[in-house]
This record gives sequence, structure tokens and C-alpha cells, in this order.
Amino acid sequence: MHHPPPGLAHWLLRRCLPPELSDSVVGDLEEERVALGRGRGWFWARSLGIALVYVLERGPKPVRPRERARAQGDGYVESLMRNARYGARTLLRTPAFTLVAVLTLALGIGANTAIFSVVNALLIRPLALPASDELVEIVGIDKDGRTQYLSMPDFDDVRRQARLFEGFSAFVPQSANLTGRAEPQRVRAGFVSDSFFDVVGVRPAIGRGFLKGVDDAEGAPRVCVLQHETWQGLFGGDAGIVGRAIVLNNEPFSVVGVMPKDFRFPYDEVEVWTPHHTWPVYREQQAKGALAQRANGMVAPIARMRPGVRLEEAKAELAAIASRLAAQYPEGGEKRGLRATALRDAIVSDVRQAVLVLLGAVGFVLLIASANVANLMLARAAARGRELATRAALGAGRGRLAGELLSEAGLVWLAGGVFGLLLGWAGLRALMASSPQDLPGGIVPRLDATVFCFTLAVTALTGLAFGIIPALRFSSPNVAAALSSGGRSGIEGGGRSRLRAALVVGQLALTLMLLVGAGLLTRSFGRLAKVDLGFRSEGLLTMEYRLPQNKYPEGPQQWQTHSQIVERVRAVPGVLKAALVRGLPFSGNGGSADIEIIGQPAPEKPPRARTNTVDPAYFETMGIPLLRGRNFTERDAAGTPPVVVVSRKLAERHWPGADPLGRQIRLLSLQPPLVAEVIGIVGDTKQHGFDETEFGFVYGAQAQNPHIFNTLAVRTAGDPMQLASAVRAAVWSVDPEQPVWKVRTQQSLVERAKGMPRFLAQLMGGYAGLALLLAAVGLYGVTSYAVTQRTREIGLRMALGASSSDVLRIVLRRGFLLAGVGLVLGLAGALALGRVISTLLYATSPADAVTLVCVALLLLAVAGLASYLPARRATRVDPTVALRYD
Amino acid sequence: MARLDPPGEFEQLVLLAVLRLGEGAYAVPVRREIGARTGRTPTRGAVYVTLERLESKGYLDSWLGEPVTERGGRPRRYYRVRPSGVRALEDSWVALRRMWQGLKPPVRET
Repeated sequence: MHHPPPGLAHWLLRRCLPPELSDSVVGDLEEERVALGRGRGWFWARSLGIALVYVLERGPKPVRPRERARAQGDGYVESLMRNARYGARTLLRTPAFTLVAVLTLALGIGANTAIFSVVNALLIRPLALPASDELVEIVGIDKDGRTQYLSMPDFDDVRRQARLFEGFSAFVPQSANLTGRAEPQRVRAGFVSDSFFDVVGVRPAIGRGFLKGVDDAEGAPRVCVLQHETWQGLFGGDAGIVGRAIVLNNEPFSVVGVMPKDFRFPYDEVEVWTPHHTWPVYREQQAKGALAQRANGMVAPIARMRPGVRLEEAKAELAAIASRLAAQYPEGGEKRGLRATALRDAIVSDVRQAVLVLLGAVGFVLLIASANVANLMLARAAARGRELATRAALGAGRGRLAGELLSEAGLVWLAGGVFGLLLGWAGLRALMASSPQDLPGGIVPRLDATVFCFTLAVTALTGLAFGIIPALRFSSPNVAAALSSGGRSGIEGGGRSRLRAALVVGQLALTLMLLVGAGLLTRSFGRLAKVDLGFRSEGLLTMEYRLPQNKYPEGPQQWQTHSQIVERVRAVPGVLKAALVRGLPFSGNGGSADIEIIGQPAPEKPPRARTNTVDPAYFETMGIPLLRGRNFTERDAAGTPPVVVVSRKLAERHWPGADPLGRQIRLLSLQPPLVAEVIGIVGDTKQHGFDETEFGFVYGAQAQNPHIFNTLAVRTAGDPMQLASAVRAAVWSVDPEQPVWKVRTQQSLVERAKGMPRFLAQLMGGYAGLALLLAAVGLYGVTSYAVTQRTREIGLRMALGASSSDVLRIVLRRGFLLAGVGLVLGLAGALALGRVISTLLYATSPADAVTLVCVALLLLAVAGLASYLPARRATRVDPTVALRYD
Repeated sequence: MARLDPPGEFEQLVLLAVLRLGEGAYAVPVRREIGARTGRTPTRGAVYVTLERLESKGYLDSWLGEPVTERGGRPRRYYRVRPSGVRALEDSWVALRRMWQGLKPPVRET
């Protein structure tokens, strides 16, 4: 393991150490590195340490007289150090300037560091699984492009035919009941193929995974693998856990393994892994003999591509397989396809756009901050114009003056970067603490090496791009002009004030774009918060449970248990009403189905409707109005003719101008399709989000469509959470082994859905506010400086009879001119970038006129204020003083 | 010869380490020797800077050895204490011993 020492480290040592020493130091380090078996990083760190000691001890220069004599003039490092020292001294002479400049940059760099940490964690850093870029999620798509599960025979064919994949595994997350302990409990189970641990590339730390062809075979003894946290949390880290039996969904499973501590599959927080065939739905379909049907979706697999295979190639192979399958087995759905998504993309797709927009926003903030500092430094350099001109006249080289200005800027940016890193660290913590939800996939952002390099890079880039401006401007001052004009105007010429004006215009334009973004998000959130949900969310306690299929195998038993439970809940003191619903609004649950309107010509593509099943008390409990017809009653039971209640939107869409009551609907997605009569119409409700408009609802009676999963919706007299344990106890009075979970209020679900849009609007608003402040300071600085420069001119005008308002007008005109140009550019930019933000908006156009006008007025008002303050000072110029002003 | 600066405490440690190591004294074992005997391993940078300073003060001599393959063909820089270094160490020791006379470690205010 002999590597040559890293070239850069060697170079560093040669730079900083006496030449006759550096070679042997490199040798010493190499000798130790090999002896200790360390890598290049070790070498680097030690080199840096040694170099640092030398630089601190005596500066990076040759120390021996003969070396010094050999050196030709100034060494590069030496002049850098001299400039840095000089820069530091000048900066310390004006601490206020330095503080403002450093703080401005630190704010910009800090915001970027914090947001980039999130971007890095979500989009750059690999998932915490081996070779995670080889992992893909595969879903089926029907001919209309809707996603669906793959049937078992399709899955088996894909598995057999795909050549570019190393392995496939089913993955179905679903809660399971863990019983046989003091309290029944819900655990999140992952139902997976026996190949799962090979596909994800992580083996259990204790015991074994699933055996190929054994554990996932039907009729095999039930086994499971625990997550480390489950083992620790629920089983106290029992050393003899392997071989122990636990009861899941009312059946004994023996524990065969425990996953390593740091293993986390980034989908749902699975607590226990069990073979796919133990999934209740799988067993149910198996009992019906329906598993072999090509139309019966059972699995959304995850798969690992072979090393070196690109996603596009894998997609092409899957597409070819899918079209073969569709041709060969049309009963599974014509033109069905397969869609592969990189696992990471599948996980982060919801938040990707939002974090990228935020990164763009903080990028703007940094540009504005940098422009501000560049402007400050220009003004400062102009004030030092005579000093620079004098020194140039005395023979200071152009390079030397530029070097000084540049290293001054470098120091400011360096300090800004250091404080920015600290602010970024604090900002990231604040960001995560105030974020309404965790990042998807349990991803935790950190300030790692990538973030550090990013911060270094943005600091260096903005430092170079903006820090070089004063250096270029002032490195060749027009010596003769500066000296002969008596220094009255310094060396600030027209070109320079135009440059500063351009910087301010750029700042104002960027600020306007940020303000537009923040305004749009705020307006969108305002609309969202006012959306009529169609039900009353306050005062509702909700909780979920799932009956074990094998304990209650028959529909009538299931419904009987559910109705017993809800009866007991109604008897709890403080409960006003209680109801059952399969898919509670905003819980994430809910179904949809293709429907056919009987008695109307069937369109080519059947319309779709949201479906839900409820008990007779549901509409009243939720406060959903019954508009026409009747509600479900106890008489709508198994064995009586199937009935449905529809929502107003569905009724209006499918029976426009006609009476839907007594008409019939066929639900095509059920096996076999069910025909039901419409008995009532209720108000429209939102199910998943504020912005859903499509579809309408078909509600079925739970007594006629029993199932094992249910949600209790309980309207209470006081604080809903106060009744949580009493309601849970009521459930346990029916079955003490029945776990209930997600005990929460309906209001909290609605608030959760509002959380992210609100957070985004607030963050954007904060950044835009910061930008506005910086831009205002920039404009103030420029105007103020111009007033100082023109003191003589203003004094002269006033001496010749100009009034204060004339002076005010002159100065303000310039401020508004800059603001106007910035406004126009900013509006154009905002319109051009509208597309980027449009996916984050609800019922708001990116070109929303009200937002654009308000934002423009705000910018003009702030610009007016920023120019008015220096303008007012100009009106107080005393002509006699001004004419003497030097 | 002008009077030499008396060596500081760390310089004494380095000089003593070079003295103890005899023939094979170069930076790596010097650092290890100090660490092993005092229980506190100094940083590499401190050792290099000090060795170099001691050489410029005239307490040490140094020369390059043969290129060594495990070191990527780079030579070691060996050090040897000059008589002036030995004398400086002795002077320091004598000075310290005189100052200690009549005191018994550990020294505590009573």
C-alpha cells in the first residue's frame, strides 16, 4: 500500500518549510503513514498541521541567509502575507465598515450553507444503503398512465426476464398488530420477498435474513427480522431474541434476525420485516384463488440494477418486457407499462422543487449581499482615492495596489465565510426545528464535507467576482487627474458611479424577484387556508385500527366488531357523536375506482371517482351536509340491495340537470363489479389536499362492504385529546388485544397539510425581507455617496436660488431612476422564472397581477425612503460651507 | 563565540531525546521518545520547528542519510547534539538543581 504522497500536500510543505527540510519531512510522514497503515487523508491533515506551525512560527519564507539570498525578490506567499497584513490593518481601522460587510456576507453565506445542507442531504449525498444509486422503485402503469401495483404473475415474469437487474424484491409497508404483550401495539411491518436483504445489500447483524425459496414459500413457518430499534425498544435488547416467538396479526412469528443499528430503509419507518406472503391482503387474495390473475395488483417492487447499468437502459428493458406482457396477457390490462424511478428520486420527489426554489432564493440573497459589500468597498476605495493616487505616483505598482485591495476583499469574504459557516450551522438547526415535517426517508441534513466545500466555493466565487471589482477599478488610478484636481472629486469618475449604479440596479432586480416569489407563496397560502373543506375539522378526535384478518375472517364478523366498537365509543362520557370511516380526510387514506353510470352510454374511458365507506353516523359527525335524498340507515345491511351516497360534484357531473336519486352506478374496480343505487347526495369534501378539484365521491355503507381497517371519528364536547385514553379503553373493552394508533385530532391533520406551504411562504418571506433590507442599504449608500460627492454642486445651486424641493427632486429622481430600472428588470425576471415556482402555488398564477403590483409598490416605497434620507440631508447643505468643502 | 540563548523547556526535551537516541536520531523517533517518556506526545510541527531552531542556535548538527525506499526514496535528516548543546543542558540542569535546593517536591504552600 505504497501511495506517492499527495502532490498538493508536498507542494504545501515545500512552500511553508525551509527547502532543505521539506523533503525529509515528507519522507518522515510517508514512513509513519505506511507504518500506521493510514491513507492520504491522514497525510494531508499532518502536512497541513506542520505547515501551519511553520507559518505561525516564522511566516512562510526561507529562513537561512543563503536561501534568502537565492530568493528572487518577493516570494508569492510572502507578498500575499504582506498584503493580508496590510488589509487586516486597514480593515481594523474602520471596524464599523468591516463589521457590516462581514455580517452582510455571513448572512448570505449562512443562508446558503443551511439550505444547501438540505439539498445535499436530499439530492446529492447517497442514501445510507450500499451502492444506493443502483436501487430503483418499480411501479406498474395502466393505459391512462395511472400507477398500479404489479400482479404476482407479472412480477414473476419481470423477475425472470430482466437481464439488467441483479435482484427484485416485493416491498409492501403496512401496519400490523403486535399482541401477546402487556398492551396491544401497532408496529409498521415491511412485507418483502426473501431476496430483500440481498437487494438492499444489508444483512442482519444478529441471526439471519430470509432463506431463498424457504421463508417466502407458502406454508413455510412464519419468520420475521426486527429493526435494531424495535429489538431495543420493544424487546429490551433481549440477547436471546433469535428464536423467540412474537405475535403479529394474531399469528406467531419466530424472530430469525435483527438488522444492524444504522440500517434504515428510507420508506416508512418499518419496524419489523416479514415475508411478502404473510401480508394480509396477499393471504386474502390467495384464499380466493385470485393471485394468478394478471389484473390483481399485489406488489410495487424495489430492484437493484447490475453495477454499471444506467437507469435509462434499465427503463428501456422494463418497457420492452411490459409491452411483451401486455401483448401476451391482455387480461392484465392493455398497454400497461412499468415505470422505474431511482429510489432516491422516488423518496424526495415531493420536496425536490421546494428545496431547489429555496436554494435559488438564498443564492439571490448572497448575490445581493455580495453586491452590497462590493459597493461598500468601492465607496471606501474612492474615499481612499487620493492615498492610492499618491502611492501610485510614488511608484507603487499596479499589481501591488490591486493586490492590496483584493486581499482586503479576500479577508472580508474569508471572515464572512467563517461566520457564514457558523450561521449556517445554527440556521440549519433552526430550520429543522421549525420545519413542520421531517425530510422524507428519514434523511437528516448535516454540515458535512460536501457542504463545507460548497460554502468554500460560493465564498471564493462571490469573493472573486465581487471582490475584484474595486481592485480592477482602482489599481490604475489616473494619477495626474487625481493630483491636479486638488483631490476635490477624488478619483471617482463617471464610470465608477455608473458601476455602482449597475450593482444597485442588479440588487433591486433580484430583490424584486424574491419579493414576487414570497408574495406569490403567501397569496397562495392565504387562498389555501380559506378553502372550504366541506366538513368541520374542530373538536374531532380520530384514531385508526386494523382487525386481524385471521381472527375475523368473515365480513359480517368484521362489521359486527366495528359496530360494537363504535357503540362503546359513543357511550364514553364527553363523546357527542362517533362514526366510522375507511379513509379519513387528510389522513392519507382513501380509494378511487372507475365507475359506470348505468343507463348512459359508456364513454371510451370510464370516469373515475373517489371511494370511501362510512357508517350511518359519519356525515353528521363530520358536519357534511346531506343535500338530497336519505342517509344510510341500519337497514342498509349485508344482504339488502347495495346503496351509495354521492357527493354533489359527482351528481352534477354525471347527471347534469337530472335527478340522480334512484339511478344506478357500477363500481368497475371491484371484483366482481358492484351495481348500487344512489340514495342521497352530500356536500363536497376535500380528501387529500386543499387543491384537489377532480373527481367526486361515491360513499358505500360499511355494513354492506365490510373490511378490517377502520378509522374512528369522534366529536367531543371539549378538547378532543382529553378523551383519547377513554376512547382507546372503549375499543379495548371489545377486544383487549386490538391495537389502535394515530390517535390525533382532525384539526392536526388539516394543520399538517397546511404546514409545508406556510413554512415555505414564511421562509421565502424572510429571505425576501432580508434582500429588501440589503438592497435598501445599497441604494441608500449609493445615493448618500452621490450627495456627498455633489455637495459643492448642490451648494452652488442653492446659492444661485434653487429651493430645497428642487434639490430634493434632483436627488430623489436619481434614486427612483435606479429603482425603476431595477423594477423593470426584476419584473421581467420574475415572469421568466414563474414556471419554476408554479408547481408550488395553489390557485395562483405566477403572473398574479395583485402580487406583482403590490410588490412593485413596496419596492418603490422602500427605494423612495432609502433615497429620501440622503436627499433630505442634501437640502440642509449650507451653501457657504459647501463651497468651502473639500 | 557569543553566548548562546539558554534552551527553553521544550528545547531541552528535544535535546535530551536526540542525546538518548544517539545514532538514529531523526524527527520521528525524537517525537516518539518524548511521548514515551513524558506521557505527552508533541505535535510533529513543534518537533520540526524546534529541531531547526536548535540547529540555528548551534546546539545541534544535522545531515541527510541515504534515500530510503519505504519513504518514497526520501532521505532522513539525522541530528546529533553538539558539545555546546550538551553544555547548555548541563547548565540548565545545574541552574534548576540550585533553585530546587532546600525544597522537596511536591512543593506546596503551607
